[in-house]
Amino acid sequence: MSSEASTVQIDDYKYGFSFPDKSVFKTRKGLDEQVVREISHAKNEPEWMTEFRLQSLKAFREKDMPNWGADLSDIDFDEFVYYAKPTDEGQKRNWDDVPQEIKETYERLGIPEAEQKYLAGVGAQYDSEMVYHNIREDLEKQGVIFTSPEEAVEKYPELVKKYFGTIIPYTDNKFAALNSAVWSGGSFVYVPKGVKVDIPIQAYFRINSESFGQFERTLIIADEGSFVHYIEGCTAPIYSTDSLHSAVVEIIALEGARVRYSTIQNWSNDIYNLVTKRAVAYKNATVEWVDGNLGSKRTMKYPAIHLLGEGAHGEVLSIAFAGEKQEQDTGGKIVHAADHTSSVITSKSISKDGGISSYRGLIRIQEGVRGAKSNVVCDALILDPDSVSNTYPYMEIDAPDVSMEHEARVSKISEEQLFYLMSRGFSEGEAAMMIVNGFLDPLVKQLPMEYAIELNRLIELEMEGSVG
Amino acid sequence: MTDYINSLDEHQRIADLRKRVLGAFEKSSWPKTDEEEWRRTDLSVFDLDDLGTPDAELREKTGAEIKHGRIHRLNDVLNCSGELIPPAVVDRIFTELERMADNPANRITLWNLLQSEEIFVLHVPRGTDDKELHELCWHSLGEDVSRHATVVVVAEEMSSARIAIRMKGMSGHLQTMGAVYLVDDGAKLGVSVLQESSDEVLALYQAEARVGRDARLLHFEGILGGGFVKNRVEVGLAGSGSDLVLDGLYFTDGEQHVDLRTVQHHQAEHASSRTYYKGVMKDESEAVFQGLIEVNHEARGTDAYLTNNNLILNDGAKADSIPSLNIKTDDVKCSHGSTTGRIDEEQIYYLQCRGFTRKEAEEMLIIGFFEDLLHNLPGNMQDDVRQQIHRRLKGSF
Repeated sequence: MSSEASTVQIDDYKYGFSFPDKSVFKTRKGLDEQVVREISHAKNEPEWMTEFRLQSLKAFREKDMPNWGADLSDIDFDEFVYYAKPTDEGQKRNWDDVPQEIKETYERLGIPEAEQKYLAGVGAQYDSEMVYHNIREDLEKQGVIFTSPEEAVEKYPELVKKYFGTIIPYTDNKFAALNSAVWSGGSFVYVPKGVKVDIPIQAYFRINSESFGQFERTLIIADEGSFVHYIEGCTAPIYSTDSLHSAVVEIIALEGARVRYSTIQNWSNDIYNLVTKRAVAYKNATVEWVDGNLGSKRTMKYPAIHLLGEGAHGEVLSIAFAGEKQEQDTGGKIVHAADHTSSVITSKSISKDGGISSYRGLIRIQEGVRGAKSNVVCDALILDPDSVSNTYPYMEIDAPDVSMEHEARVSKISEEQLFYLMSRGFSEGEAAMMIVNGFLDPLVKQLPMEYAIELNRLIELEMEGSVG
Repeated sequence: MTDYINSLDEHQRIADLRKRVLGAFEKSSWPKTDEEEWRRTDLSVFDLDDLGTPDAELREKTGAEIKHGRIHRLNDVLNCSGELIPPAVVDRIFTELERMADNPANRITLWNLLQSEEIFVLHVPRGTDDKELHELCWHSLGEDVSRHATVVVVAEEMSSARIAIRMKGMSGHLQTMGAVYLVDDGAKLGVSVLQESSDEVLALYQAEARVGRDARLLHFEGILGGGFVKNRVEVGLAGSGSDLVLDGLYFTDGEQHVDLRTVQHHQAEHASSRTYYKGVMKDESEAVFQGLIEVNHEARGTDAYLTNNNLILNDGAKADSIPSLNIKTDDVKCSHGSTTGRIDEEQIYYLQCRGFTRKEAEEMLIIGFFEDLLHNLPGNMQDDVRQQIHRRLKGSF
């Protein structure tokens, strides 16, 4: 069953197409100081950013690979190309100006259409560079900034210097150091005081080159009392060699702000997805990570929220689907560093065809914090005997006035539920599909409608041939 | 090291076992904080290599004592050729000790085999139903020495027995106890371990167990003493239909550090297991609970639970809770839960309305919190636990 199902799945990965590599500039394979200088030079960066990159490269060399989590032993850092510039023309504000093949890629992914219908702004990254960034005019007039970080370095150096690399320092971990050294593309978002961006903005990340490393860098600053919902989507072609995606995402939610960051990660099954995401929430601010991991070969990603101000709230909703030869090592981290902070982590994972899904999470309540509340729920479904599910929750409670609850369950699709649905006339396959959908429902509900539909469709695809 | 082993003056079989262990011990290194299980308990703060060995007088006067039942010293068993325990069972005990030497959980396993002052054995013959409690008590003593003991229990098919191990060390030394529990098909074994040492004692307890087909092991550990405690209890559910209960309670105060590891390892079909650990942390103490449910690919029909509840009484006390699951098959029911909080103010208020002082109310609620873990204990141990907690709460708050 599994071998048949797998061919079905590869054919069905509808984002697996690629166009010939027409990059106008690429660094050579491998990574050293010269490559980093070339990237910085290509971007015409100020000296302080070049220095930041070189320091980061040093940290990258000094840091050890993580000795826990997914197996990363076959990553060969010398085999990747770290920078590929797809076009000489810079980022456009009109789809018509984007080079033909790149535009065609995004049309096949349905991005321009989505922009017209239900997005406030769209960014599109092709390999190393953002080729398109646009935001609704009325929002721009209110002072909302949505652009590439390169442009932000040039136009808003004060904001960038104040926040860039402060939430995730380049010394944080090996992959954050790598990203800091060779970062390219991503988004820079600034929402001014009191501005509420009512419909989501989206960035779309596409890898086209082979044996390539994409290292986008996103910085979101939500000023006091503002709101923004940022969505990222990721796809790549299927090649015979592995590629690496290692992003760094930093979010600052100032007093009373709310930021929601949703990811639908659907990389092809030859991508290592090793991402560092961290947010800080000040007084009465809220940060929510909605993290859907369907694709990639191995993912290690634990979106974090540091609750720094009184009354701050953090939520992580994590959903992972590990199919054949996939390993999803995901979860969430919350640090309660102020009084009356609250947090919720909800994780749902599905393992199938020998896939490995692991929840890895941390709740830390710091000494002296009063009235902190945290609730963590992890549910896992295992669809066949060869698949694996792991749960590693860490709770570090250093204060008495807290309420910390954690529960986790692992099970297969219940025979009783299947029997019930089949006795109502559904086939076994349909019944299993319904149960899986029901299992994910609390999470899917949190997504905007069109993403929820897309996610359901993706799950359906992944489930094909699994039961009955 | 060799001098110490020679000074123990034992039967050749034990001496040979120690020789076998020595090589492996010398090649191994102490657990380091980069190992997940030891990340929160740093042994390097103690100069373990510099600890001395107890001399003959200290061993004689403050060795572990057999209080009740048919527990024997392995050396005596060997010297009384076959009278105390049948030779076949003795062979089995050696096979098990050699297996431990070849596959140690960590260097402490080897250290303990190498230096155990006594190896105690309890043999429960096939079909016997022991009503009487077997009891071992260890008032270990010494300054800057490491004291070691080992216990091996063989509960044969369809037998039933209970053993209590009580550790009450005093003064600044290290006390380690290694234990192996073999529960054969259809047998039932209850083990109650109580750590009541004073705060200068560094205490390590490491137990391994194997539970056979339709057999049942009930293991309880209560940590009330020891300044620095690191325990691990790892049980293999090796027979189909086997059943395991791991109960634990820990009450820490002062500057105590307690780190408890449990593993419920499902290796066979249709086995069930339940871990239930509760802790109360006071003063500047810290407790770590690391529980793991591990389900092998072939262990279909597994039913496993893991629960950890903690109460933190004051600022400065800390609790880490890490309940993990590693599941390699689909036909399982596995879950875990963990809660950490403080004593419910409403419950205190309720009791105060009924005329209790705040201190009395808190004590009642703490004892009540542990109560569901106490009823499985032998009667006198239940009272001892309650009294110890009462004594430690007195004059506080």
